[in-house]
Amino acid sequence: MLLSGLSLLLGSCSSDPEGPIFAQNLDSLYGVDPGDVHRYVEPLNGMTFEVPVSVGNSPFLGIGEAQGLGFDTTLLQFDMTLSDEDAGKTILSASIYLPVRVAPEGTIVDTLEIPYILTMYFHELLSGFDDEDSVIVIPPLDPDPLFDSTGAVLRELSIDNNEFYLDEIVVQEWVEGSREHNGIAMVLESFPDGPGLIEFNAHEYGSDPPSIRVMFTDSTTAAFPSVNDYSTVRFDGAGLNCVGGYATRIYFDFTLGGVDPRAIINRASLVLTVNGDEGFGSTLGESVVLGILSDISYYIYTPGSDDPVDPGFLEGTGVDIGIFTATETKTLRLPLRGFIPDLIDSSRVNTGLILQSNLENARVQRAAFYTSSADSLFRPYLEIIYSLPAGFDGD
Amino acid sequence: MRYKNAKIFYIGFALGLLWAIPVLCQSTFGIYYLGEHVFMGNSRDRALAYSTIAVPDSLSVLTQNPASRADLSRVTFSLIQVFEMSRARTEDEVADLAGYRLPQVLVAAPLKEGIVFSIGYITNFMGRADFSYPKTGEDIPLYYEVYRHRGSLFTIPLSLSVKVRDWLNISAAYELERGSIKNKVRIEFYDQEYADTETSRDRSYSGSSWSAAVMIRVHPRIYIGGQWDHEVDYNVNESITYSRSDFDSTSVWNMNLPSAFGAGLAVGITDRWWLSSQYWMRKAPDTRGFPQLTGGIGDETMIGVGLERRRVREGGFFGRIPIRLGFYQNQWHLEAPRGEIVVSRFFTAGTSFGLPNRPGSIDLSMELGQIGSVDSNGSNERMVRIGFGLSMSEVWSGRGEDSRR
Repeated sequence: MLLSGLSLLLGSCSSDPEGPIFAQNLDSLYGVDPGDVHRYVEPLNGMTFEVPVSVGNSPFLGIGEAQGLGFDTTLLQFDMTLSDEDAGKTILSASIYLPVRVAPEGTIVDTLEIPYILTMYFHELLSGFDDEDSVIVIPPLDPDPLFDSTGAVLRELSIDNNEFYLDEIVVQEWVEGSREHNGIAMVLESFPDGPGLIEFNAHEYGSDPPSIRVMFTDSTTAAFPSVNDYSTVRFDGAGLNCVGGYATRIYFDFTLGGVDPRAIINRASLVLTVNGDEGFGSTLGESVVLGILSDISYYIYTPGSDDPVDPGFLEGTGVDIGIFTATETKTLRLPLRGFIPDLIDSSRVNTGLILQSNLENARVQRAAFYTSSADSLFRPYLEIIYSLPAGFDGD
Repeated sequence: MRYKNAKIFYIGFALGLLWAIPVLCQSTFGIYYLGEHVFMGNSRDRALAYSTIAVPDSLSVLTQNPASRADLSRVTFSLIQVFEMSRARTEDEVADLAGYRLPQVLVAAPLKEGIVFSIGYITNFMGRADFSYPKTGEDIPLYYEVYRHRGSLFTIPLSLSVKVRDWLNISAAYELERGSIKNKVRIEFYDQEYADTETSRDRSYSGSSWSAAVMIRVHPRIYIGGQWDHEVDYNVNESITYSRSDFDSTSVWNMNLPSAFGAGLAVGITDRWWLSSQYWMRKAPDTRGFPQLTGGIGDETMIGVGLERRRVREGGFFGRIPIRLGFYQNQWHLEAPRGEIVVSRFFTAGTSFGLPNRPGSIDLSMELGQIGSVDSNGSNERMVRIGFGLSMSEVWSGRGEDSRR
């Protein structure tokens, strides 16, 4: 019993860390060197380039401007097929109906609220389009806008005013097929009350689509719904912007010239600082009505070629995918840990990295990053924390 | 104690000692080179400061001199487990340490009267440590350098001990030499975004050797003993693996551990009081595989003296039991730093208790001493080692009577 008790007592004795005792002889006697840890930083410039893809299936259409993104043209094409019941009827009046869902707040003048208004023109399209395809170039328009019942061509769109007169003769001809219906383009005229975006249902929303409404001379009515609709996006912002819907990507090239070829990577990151003031995660309609998150889903790939004119530049091997908030100013460390080691050990050719919105053909979003000319805290750079291989031979 | 209960006790005691294996300990100097040299011997040998190469023992297999085993008349099993506590210090640091050593186990079987075969597990060198250091750098988060060291070189002796004459025992052994020394270092970050890196070096040692020993009774109160351990030419297989597998490497080489010899004298001052002594020595091994120690490995020597009051059957409890005292000095192969020898000096003491109803003993030993010095070696350890030895015999045949040392 005594022996068992003593062995248990000794077994339960705790020991102090031995490290401080060994410290003085680690190199000279033990000879094991775990390898130093280093930090490598390579400043990045970044280059933006545009990719010909666009959004065609958004449930909402928009016109106006948000965070530098210009929704200045919306294309609408309607199914002008007349029902057998209405065949032969004559149209008395016609209008285009835009189911507006969201608009910026209006202004209060003497307790009277004046709604936010955008002015625009309707132009007849001279050739068709298909929103299932990427709409890169707006089809040619009839230079003469469609006019209203008074002969005016400038239309005012607001939350309260969303139905506009169309020339019933033109519509009659579309219905009868004597005039080809390629669609109508809504073209923004100006922003009278500053940037803002008015959103309305697209046919992809599933109900209450844009439509052309007619009243026949026998007082019956008919509606011709949108079957193709699409809002084009324009972006002219400077700096490093990753834009969806307009498909602007950012290319980073680097050399890794200062990294020890024996490096064993602990962490490798593409460090970018988001300028939240210029970011755009979602439209008001997407977030409030549809409940879509405003996070940006990003995708980083290393292109198959570092030549921007080579088709391989637009695709390559994925490096990382993730999300961030475009409207919050924050420094991101996008992980490259699986990629940089391949460059270090030369198992992969360094063709740089490209950052894009992973939903660039589905969502209109914008992430703005500080550039190399920004304050040093915000500049983009490549950061690599690495260890050198352990050694076992002492000094 | 009834026989059945005693058997359960002995088995439980042996298992209790073996239970301690996972928590190992050794001198802090044991992480360098091959490790800390462990001398063979049970608690009686320890209590007599390893001065027992000329001391006959008819109860234990774990004797300093294998030739002594020729006196065993039963199948005998011996096991020793050592517990130790130490205070290691440098000029600036102090660490209290506690733990266990690898056990030594031997079993012997008499083939016929005066001829005994034995086999077992003898640890030769051992080293073990787990330690770490916090580190940081400019714009580098806190990380730890984590070290793990495991070293054990051991011998499996296949030994034959023969009583040639009433005054002469000899033995010879073929010895399988095996073991490994493993080092692992990690760079560990506590931030999950960082990947740890790890490098491991595994060295496996294999070889064979032989040894011979003799014990001569010159006079009923004078014994001399000696042993020769032939050199070991270790075949060393080394593999180093990194977190970056393209750096992995393997290599093979040979390392020579020179021959060692020991010799000693035991003198009975009276029938009960005996003086014993031993000198042991091995030339400096090569430093292949340890380039940082080039020029820093020297001869190893050990000199021990002991005084034993042997057991008697008559008298009171304290008058009957053996009393053992000793002192030994062991100069390591290691020089720390180069040119500064590392020396262990230990005072020893111990006693023994017979097993009830059967031949055998439980031996206790205590060693109190110091390894190294702060002035010469940069650090020292003041250490207490407590050894529990168990020797049990089982009747092999009807021949022979119980022996009592």
